[in-house]
Amino acid sequence: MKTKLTLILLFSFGVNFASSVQDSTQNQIREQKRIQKQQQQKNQDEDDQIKNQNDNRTGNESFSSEGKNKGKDVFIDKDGDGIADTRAGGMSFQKLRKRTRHGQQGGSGRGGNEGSGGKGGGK
Amino acid sequence: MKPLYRSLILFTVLLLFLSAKSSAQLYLTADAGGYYDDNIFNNYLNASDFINTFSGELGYDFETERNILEIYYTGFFNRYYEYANKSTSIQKVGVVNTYLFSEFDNPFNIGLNYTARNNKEDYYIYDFSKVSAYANYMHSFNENNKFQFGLLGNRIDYENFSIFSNYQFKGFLRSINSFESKTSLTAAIELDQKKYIESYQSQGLADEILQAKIYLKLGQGITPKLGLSGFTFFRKNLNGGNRYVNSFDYTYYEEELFNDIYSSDGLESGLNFTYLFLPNIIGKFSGVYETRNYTDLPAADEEGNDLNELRKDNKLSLGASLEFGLSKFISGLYFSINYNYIENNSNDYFYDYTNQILAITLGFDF
Repeated sequence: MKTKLTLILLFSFGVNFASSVQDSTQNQIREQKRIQKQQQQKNQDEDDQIKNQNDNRTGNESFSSEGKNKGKDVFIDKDGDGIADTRAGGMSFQKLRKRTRHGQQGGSGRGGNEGSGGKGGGK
Repeated sequence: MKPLYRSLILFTVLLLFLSAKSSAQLYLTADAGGYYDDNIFNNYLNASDFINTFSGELGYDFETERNILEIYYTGFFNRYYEYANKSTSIQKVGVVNTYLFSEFDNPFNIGLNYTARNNKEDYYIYDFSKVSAYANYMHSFNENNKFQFGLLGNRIDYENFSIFSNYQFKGFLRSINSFESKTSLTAAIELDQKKYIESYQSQGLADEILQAKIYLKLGQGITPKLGLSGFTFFRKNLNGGNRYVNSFDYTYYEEELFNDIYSSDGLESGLNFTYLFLPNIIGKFSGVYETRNYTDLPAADEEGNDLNELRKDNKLSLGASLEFGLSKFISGLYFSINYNYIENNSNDYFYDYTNQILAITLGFDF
C-alpha cells in the first residue's frame, strides 16, 4: 500500500512539474503580465493604495528594464513596510522624546507602557 | 483503511486534478542590499548607521484559463550595526485570487493576508500584527481606458499599545486613461476610516477618524528613451484626532510612535524623470514637495512642552537611481544604486532635519 501511494505521489508531482515547465515556456509573456497585475493588487493594502506605487511607467509603455523590479521606488523604504517613505520615528522607548501635554497635571501613567489615552491637542 | 492513508489518497487525487485542470508555478524574488543612512530616525539628532537589508518573496500560483490562485510569503529583514537592537523582521503570508472576466483583462481580485512585525528589545514597542482583506475590480473599456474600484479592511493590533489598535476601512475609485500622444492620466479618490478597537467615547476620546484622498498623475513620453510624470496627492481629515498615552509624567502621541498617516493632512506633489540609457540601464530622478498639517498634534519646545500651535512640516525629497539589468549573466539579476536627499522644515525643532541615504541593491526575480 505504502509503495503504491509513494508511486502515485511521485507520479502526481511529476505531472505537476512537467506541466509547470511546459507552461512556463509556452505562456511566459502572458504569465508575466498576469503576475504583474496580481502583484500590483497584493500591494493595495498599504496606506496610500490609490497612488498605485508599483506603477513606475512614465507615460511611455515601451519603457522597461531587465530584471523587472517594477515595484521599486527611487526613494528608499527604510522600514520595509512597502511604503517608500521618509517618515520619522522608530526610536527606542527609553530614548523617545519626553514631552508633556499642554495643561497636563502630573502623570496618570500606570507604570507600564500604557497609561490613559486621549484626544491630542485640539484644533 | 486508516485515516492517514485516506487523506494521502485524497491529497494525491487533488494534486492530479490540479495537474489536469491548471498549471502551477513557483516563483521567487529576492533583494539583498546595504545602505548608509545619516539620519536613521529622521529627527534633529542625526543618528547615522549602516544597514543591511534582505527581502524575499516566495509564491505559488495555481492557474487556469481565467483564474489565478496565488499563495505567497514575503519576508523583510534588516540589520543595523551601530544600533543593533533596531534590527527588524517583517513576515507576511497571504492568498489572492484573480479572476479575469475577459481573456487577458478585467481582473477581479480578492485577497487576504497576515503581517507581523517583530523588533528586538528596546524597540519591542513597535511590534504589531495586521490582518488585511480586500477586493477590487478593474474594467477595461478599451485598451486605453480603464476603471478600477475596490474595498479594503484592516485590523491592526499593537501588542504593547492596545489603545492604538484599530480597524481601517477603505474604498477607492480610480480611472486610468492613455492617449495617442503618449500621455497617460490616472485619477483616483479614496475614503478611509480608522476606528479604534477600544472605545473611550465616555471619556471624550477620539474613537474614529475619517480621511479623504484625491490623487492625480500625468505621464508623458517625451522621446522613446525619456519619460516624465507628475503627480499631486491631497489628503484631508474630515473628522477625528489622534490618541496618546501617558506614562509617568510624559505623553507619547500615536503619530510620534507609529507615524500615523491619519494624524495629518496636506498636499504632496512631485515630478519623476525616467531615462533609458541602454536597454538594460535605466535611470530615474524624482523630486517631491510635501506639506503636512497635523490636525491634533501640538508642536513642542526643547523641554518637551506643548506649544500653542499645531505641528506643521514642509518636506522636500530628491531621489536618483540607476538600475542595471544583468540578465546576460543570470536571468532576472539586477543591480541598483539609489541616492536620497530629504529636507524637512518643521515648527517643531525635533523634526527639523536633513537626511541623506546612499543604497546599493542586488536583486533576483526568478
